[in-house]
Amino acid sequence: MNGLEPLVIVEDLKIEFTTRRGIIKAIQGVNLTIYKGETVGIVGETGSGKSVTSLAIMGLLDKNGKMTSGKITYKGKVIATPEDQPMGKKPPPELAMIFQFPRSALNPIRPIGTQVVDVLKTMENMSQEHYKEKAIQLLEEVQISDAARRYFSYPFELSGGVCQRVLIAMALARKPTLLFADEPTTGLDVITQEGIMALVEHQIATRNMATVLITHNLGLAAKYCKRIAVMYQGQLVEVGDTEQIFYEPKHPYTVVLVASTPARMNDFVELSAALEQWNKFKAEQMPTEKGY
Amino acid sequence: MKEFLSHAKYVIKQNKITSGAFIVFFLIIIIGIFGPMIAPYDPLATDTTKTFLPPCSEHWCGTDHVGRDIFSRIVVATQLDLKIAVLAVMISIFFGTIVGCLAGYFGGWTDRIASRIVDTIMAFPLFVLAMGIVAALGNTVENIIYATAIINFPFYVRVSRAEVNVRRDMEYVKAARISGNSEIRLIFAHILPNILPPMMVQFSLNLGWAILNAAGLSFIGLGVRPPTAEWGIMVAEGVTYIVSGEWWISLFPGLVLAFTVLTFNFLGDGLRDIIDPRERT
Amino acid sequence: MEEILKVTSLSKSFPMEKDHSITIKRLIEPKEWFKKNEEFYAVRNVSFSLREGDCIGLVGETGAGKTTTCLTIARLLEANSGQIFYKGHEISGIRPREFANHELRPSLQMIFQDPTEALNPAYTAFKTIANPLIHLLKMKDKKAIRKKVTELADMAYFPVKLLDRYPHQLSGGEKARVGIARAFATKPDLILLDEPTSALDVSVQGGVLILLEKLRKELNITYLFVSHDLSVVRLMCTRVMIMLQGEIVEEGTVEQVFNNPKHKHTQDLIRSIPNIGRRDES
Repeated sequence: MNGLEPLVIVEDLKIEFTTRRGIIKAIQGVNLTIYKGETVGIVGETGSGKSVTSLAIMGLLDKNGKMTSGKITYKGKVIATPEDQPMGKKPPPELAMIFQFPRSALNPIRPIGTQVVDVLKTMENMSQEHYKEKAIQLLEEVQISDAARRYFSYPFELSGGVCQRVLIAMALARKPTLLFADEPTTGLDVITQEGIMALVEHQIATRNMATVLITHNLGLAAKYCKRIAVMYQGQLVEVGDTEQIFYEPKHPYTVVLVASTPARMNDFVELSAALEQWNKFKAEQMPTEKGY
Repeated sequence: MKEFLSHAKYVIKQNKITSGAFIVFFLIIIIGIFGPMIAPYDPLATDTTKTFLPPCSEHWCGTDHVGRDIFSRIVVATQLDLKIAVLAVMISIFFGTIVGCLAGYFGGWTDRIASRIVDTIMAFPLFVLAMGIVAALGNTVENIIYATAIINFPFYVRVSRAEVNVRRDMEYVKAARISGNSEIRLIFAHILPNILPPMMVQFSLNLGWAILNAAGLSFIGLGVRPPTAEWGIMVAEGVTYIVSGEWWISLFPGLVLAFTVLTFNFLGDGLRDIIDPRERT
Repeated sequence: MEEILKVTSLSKSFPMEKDHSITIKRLIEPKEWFKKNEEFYAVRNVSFSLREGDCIGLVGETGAGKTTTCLTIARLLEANSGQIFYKGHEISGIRPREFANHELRPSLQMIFQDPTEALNPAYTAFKTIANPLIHLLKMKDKKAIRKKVTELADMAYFPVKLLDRYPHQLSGGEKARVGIARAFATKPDLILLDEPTSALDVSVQGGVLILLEKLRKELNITYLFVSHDLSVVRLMCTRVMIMLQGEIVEEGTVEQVFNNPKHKHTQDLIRSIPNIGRRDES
């Protein structure tokens, strides 16, 4: 990307998980650069490794995950290598993340306002009053109406959409330069989804924040991202501008994803052809793929 | 099935106590089956010249007040105690599961009646209830089995009722109904196979408790009568002699009893580890 | 083409959970004792009809009442009021337990939303598919059953060698195909599809939709296709009904609804479809 600074550089990342069934190679050599201020989508299905990649950058990898090779750099500083594993560390403060299923990401027995305050407390020292004020301010910023009163609400009293806004408020409390959004709208009503994404877009514009939208929904990524990275079973199969991915997809898997987007389909002719190509490609070039 | 066995082996190996429990369990079963054949002496043979012998090379656990070899009696008693416990728990599971499934699936009055019966049984201290049942029905081994079955019944009703309740509205049950299955088939051919794993775990946990129960009843004189060899009654017979110094008559049967119950408890824990899906990757 | 399904004024409600503050109130005010529990109406006064061979879409968000409508038509739930005419017979009066034995059961089948939950974890794929053959078609001969199950598996592009596997050993797409093979086992005339692909990965969805379309055309089956995704419905169906809070707020042909949506909810739904250039619009 011309003129934009790289924020996070992931080089040849390989991550393995140790499980009872043996070693799972979750990420197999991913190279990705995230630039300042850009909105990039990581699109993939179950098992593609899209979530694991971002968790590794945030340092939130599971205990039984291990980085076996590669390097992750943030703002020029190396933050993860096989010798310095990305887990159990506090994520760099300018990185934030929001998740799928917002209600379960919140502590069910504490008022949401106090949870926002928790995040503020890790950032800077203020008086108790000040924390509360700032928290209410943040809740207003994410367009939660009647924020002063809602400060005391519990997650179960709020709709999924509002819970997600609270999570966004908590993320913004970290004054992030980079926000990871892992399936932030899956499971929400279509109309609520629009509202959430509009809010995220607004925040991106005002704060010049880079955003990584992780999703299985290519259509969603197309709508909000300028660049899209496609992952399949731990590998990055294609990266490019959204237009190019959609109108000139190169990798057979990308072709299938594009052709499978119902919003794009008139009939099944294109999709059938794409599936055939992809099955052929899989058989020839990815024979190590497991049966199921 | 193969996958299950390899998973089972993995879980067992992980925990030394569980592996130990499994090995001892098999040993107990073998002794239970072959007991009478491997006992060195006739458990009922008395010998007034050899009474109160302490543990020695000919009588590993000594002899009792009428000269019977305690070791042989312990070995033979294994079969009886296991038999009582297994039969009692099996009767309990059979009826408890049926009632629990029906209560959990149909709800309403079926559930209310079943739950009240269960509550009534559980209102009593269970051992006292067992005593009462045996005393009322008559002092036989058969009645110990029935009494133990009755006091374990509530437990299985509750477990199966809860498990069925959770699964009753699942989509595969709806799908089975669309496939033409009657209500009874839905409960017993579709839901029941799925609740068997947790029930199996309860079964083994219960077994230890049932043995203890049977031994306890015999200890206070209900159920098993002399000269039958049974762990509880053997402990009872030796109680009067502890003070005068013949400690081995009570101790050895008591130790074996405790050890067996412990084994079943560890076994139950191990089974639960194997079967609980959360342990599986 | 004949009318195969006609639904008139269908309503279904569920009792709402008691509000506990009202319960305390009930203790002190006798007239509260006789108030009934409030009911939540999942389906309100729904009417529509399907012709043979149609593929009609039923679209709405979660909680709109689409699944409840399906379950009621499939005779898995009892309606509060309204009539359901299937092939001329009034079936809304038949209770779910009795319908399992009814002569029309084999011809009215359903495909469920979550392929994982829709399969019995203790049954192999074979047993699941064979179930309706045994209980609805009353097939007894083991060889005949095996042959038919293999045929059905082939039809659903489900690998025959996987028939002895359990659901947890199958992928999402494979489980969906087992569900499809099971639904088609009795050669039904009407199939209700409750979001058959929502729980599947995108690249797998396409294959399943292709299969469903192929089977519908080949076997001349009528579909009621429920989905929250308007684009999928546009692809598969000729007519579509939009549901909001238990009521049908708009219906028409796919072209009518997409090019000229009248109700605000429909307009909202259409607006949220990503505009990524359909082939015929570029």
